[in-house]
Amino acid sequence: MEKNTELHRLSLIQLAQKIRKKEVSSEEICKSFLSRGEKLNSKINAWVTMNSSLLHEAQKADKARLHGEDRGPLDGVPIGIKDMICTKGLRTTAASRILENFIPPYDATVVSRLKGAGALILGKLNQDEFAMGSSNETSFFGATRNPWSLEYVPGGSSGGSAAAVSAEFCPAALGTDTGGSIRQPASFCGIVGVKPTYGRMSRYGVIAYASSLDQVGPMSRDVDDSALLLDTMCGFDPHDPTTSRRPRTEFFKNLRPEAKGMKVGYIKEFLEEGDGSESTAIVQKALAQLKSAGAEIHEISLPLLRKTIPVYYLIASSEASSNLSRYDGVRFGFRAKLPPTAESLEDLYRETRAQGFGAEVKRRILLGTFCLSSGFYDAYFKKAAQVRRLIQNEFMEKTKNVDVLLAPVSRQPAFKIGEKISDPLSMYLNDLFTVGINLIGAPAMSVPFSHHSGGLPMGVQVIARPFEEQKMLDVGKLLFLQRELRTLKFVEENL
Amino acid sequence: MDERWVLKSANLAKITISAQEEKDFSSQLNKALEYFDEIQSLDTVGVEPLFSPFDLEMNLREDRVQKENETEEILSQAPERVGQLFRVPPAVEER
Repeated sequence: MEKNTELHRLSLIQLAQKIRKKEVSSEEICKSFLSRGEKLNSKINAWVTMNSSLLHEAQKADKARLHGEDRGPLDGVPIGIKDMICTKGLRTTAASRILENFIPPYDATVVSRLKGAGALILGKLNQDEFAMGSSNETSFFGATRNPWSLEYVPGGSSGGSAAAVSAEFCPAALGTDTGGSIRQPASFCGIVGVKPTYGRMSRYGVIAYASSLDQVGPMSRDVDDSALLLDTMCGFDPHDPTTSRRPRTEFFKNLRPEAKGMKVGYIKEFLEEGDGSESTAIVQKALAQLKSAGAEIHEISLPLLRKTIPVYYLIASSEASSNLSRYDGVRFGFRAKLPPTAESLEDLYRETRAQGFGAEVKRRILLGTFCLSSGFYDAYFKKAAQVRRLIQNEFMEKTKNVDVLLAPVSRQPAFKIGEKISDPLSMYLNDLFTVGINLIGAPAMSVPFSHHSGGLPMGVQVIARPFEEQKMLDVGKLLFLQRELRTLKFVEENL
Repeated sequence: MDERWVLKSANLAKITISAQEEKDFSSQLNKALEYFDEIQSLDTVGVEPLFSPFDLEMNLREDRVQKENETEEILSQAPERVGQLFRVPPAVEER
């Protein structure tokens, strides 16, 4: 039997197997992750809230199992959840002051499906406020640090999830991806992160940022765990009319790390953008490995992908300005204390929102309000939505004859905390390789594949056509198996 | 474009912003908008806007009464309440 001090190293699937074989109890596993978080979280700031009834839930699961009850494939395994996703009775903040004390009265569908498969919720993970950011620095609860090097950002917006999985605070976590918020932090922290096709995952109970772009996805230390989590959560939900009615997926069962005969494309414009950089070199290395595994390599030209940053920020901010209008200090969340001189409902809204939202959230609400306002709607929101159609048409047309595409995840590896936060546009421009995928609705994943010369991890992005996650995961797993393996030093140095 | 668009938008979005915020947001957002304007040169005449990735057919569910949430649980999250009501400052002002 594994020493209990080593349990945190195991994958989600390995832990589930050990529990099933009764080699270890859920309670022991949960205790091991709790004590690890207690000891190390202050260095990383990944956890925002721990589930205080976890051990009780683990004991209940252990007892039920001993009585022969089948609680599902994830029986007794604890998972971390981005604080953007509602968990019944467990504080959910979106890393915002405006939801600092919000206790959801219901579970998001993705959470109830995890629980239905037997999983336990370990706690809630830090993020950029309302998922608006690419560095985890906009959190009301303070920046999260990259476990590979504590001076660096873990990426964002699902930076807490990526850091926690990477530092082995939890075997896997959920993130959300609106413009790269799963893939970029996964790349920065050296883990796997998957954004499924739009409509695969229910958004019910997921705090809305930009509804036509948001998707939940798994983040884990190997591809198998992410595939299994996708299967657990994907599928039609009567509570979310945008979910697809396609049958339940079996990605994990069908996973084959193969590329023989596969047609693999690379996006010409993306490689030109990053010409000479290490992010491009990594994609070329991955292409070479797929070629020697029997794949055909094709150059695909998608010039409109160069225009995705404006289209993304105009659309996402517009949707955000509408979605975030619900935070008014009346029904739930933070309410500003008004001076006796200002006592109208209007003042309450203005002050609550002024004090409750951070700077980046305000910037996007203002930008979005402007894009939707009378006189500017046609030139900004509608124009962006028209270009979005052109981007999607181009992608669907030009990728007809390929199975998957490879691309960089970001121009560079993790940057230093504080380096970009004062210049929003430079932060936005860093998202070039990820935002287009959300505009199109296609699936994409970040696979930990290599390292920058400075030592920080860098992933490679595998993109597929809508609903073709299986091909993406197959190629992703092949690349994962051929990755450059380095051990994260943080863990050993700080214990 | 009105140079005070940031203040106007803040007013529409019902967020009080300070003079310093107006200054900072204006310079940051004007810079972003200037960059975003590169899409204005693309020809989109006659292009149907894409508002959701797959032009979704809305999957409506059956209109059936179901118990989903408890009133007390919902109200427990209210910053201020009176019985089963949310309490707010006067919404209609006296003239």
